[in-house]
Amino acid sequence: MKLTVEQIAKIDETLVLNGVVYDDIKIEMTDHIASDIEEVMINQGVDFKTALINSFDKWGAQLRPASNAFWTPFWLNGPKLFIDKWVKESKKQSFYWLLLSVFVTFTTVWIIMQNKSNKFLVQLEQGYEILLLVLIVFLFIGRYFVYKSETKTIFSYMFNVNCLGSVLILAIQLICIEFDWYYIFAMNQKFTMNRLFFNVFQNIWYIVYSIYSFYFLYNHFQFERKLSKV
Amino acid sequence: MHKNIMYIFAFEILTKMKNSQLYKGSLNTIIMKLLEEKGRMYGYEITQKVKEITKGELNITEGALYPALHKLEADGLLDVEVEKVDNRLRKYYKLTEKGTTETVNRLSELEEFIKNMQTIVNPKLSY
Repeated sequence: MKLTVEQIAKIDETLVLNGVVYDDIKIEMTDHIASDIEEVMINQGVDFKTALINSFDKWGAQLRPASNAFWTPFWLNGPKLFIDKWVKESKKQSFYWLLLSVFVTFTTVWIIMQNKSNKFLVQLEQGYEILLLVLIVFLFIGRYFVYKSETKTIFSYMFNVNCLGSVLILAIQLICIEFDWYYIFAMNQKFTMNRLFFNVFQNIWYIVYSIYSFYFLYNHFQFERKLSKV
Repeated sequence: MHKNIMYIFAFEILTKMKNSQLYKGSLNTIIMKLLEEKGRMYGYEITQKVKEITKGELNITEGALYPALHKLEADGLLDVEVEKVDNRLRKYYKLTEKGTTETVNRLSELEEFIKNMQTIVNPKLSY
């Protein structure tokens, strides 16, 4: 017994009412619940409504409202399976974020130590400003495409959150550097290693955070590409 | 004395199996093995297939299956195809090239583990 379009729509609607609004999760859950309902209706001879309730009961624990104060934004709450996925992605992001930041910081500090001339540092700072500007532009372009996208995924939401934070931080940095309120590579400071390392690290940290947003963007459009083939 | 320790150990293993801890640890390998045999499968099909093979002994919950599938996909071991089936969209999972190689490794690891466990649970003591 195959479910009708209306019955599938009913499952979709119930999922949305339970907070499952992201297509990457919803598609899979709709199919799972529909397959379960079809089997129960055939084997146990129950009607659609009873089978629907029974099937949703099995997902009870996963649909329970949840939140996570540490790994998700403070305003975010939703079904447990959504929060769990967000937490998993956030942990992964933090790991690569830290690893890459440390690596890039060490590389940059090493390059600076090889050439401490003022001219070189000015060029480095100009390069950094261009990088900030390019990142801000690309984040805006990404945000525009996500806005235009017809699909809504966890990754598009994660990108939006990351994008907002990134643009704010990068723009503030850019303004501060432009008005000489702040020296990114400790240009007119004495070259104490600690000071230089700290300065570079805190800036690279933001840059890597922003760049990681594009990983979310990539995942979102990968999913959309697969959907477009249907 | 030695025999007693073996019995205690065997009991612990059985208790753990009852709590499905050992199954949980092998969930990814179970999924990969099924996909290796069937080519491609969707989530519900995997749960039903496992239930069928184990005659209802092992029941993979939705809360365990999908995070496992998503992790395998993120690790590049599975690939996803979306198709329209019976008025709805369905996500099919299949092994990637890397996944196929990894399945062979994990299965041999699991076989070795089972062999060791059997030796421990049913030791051939020589005294």
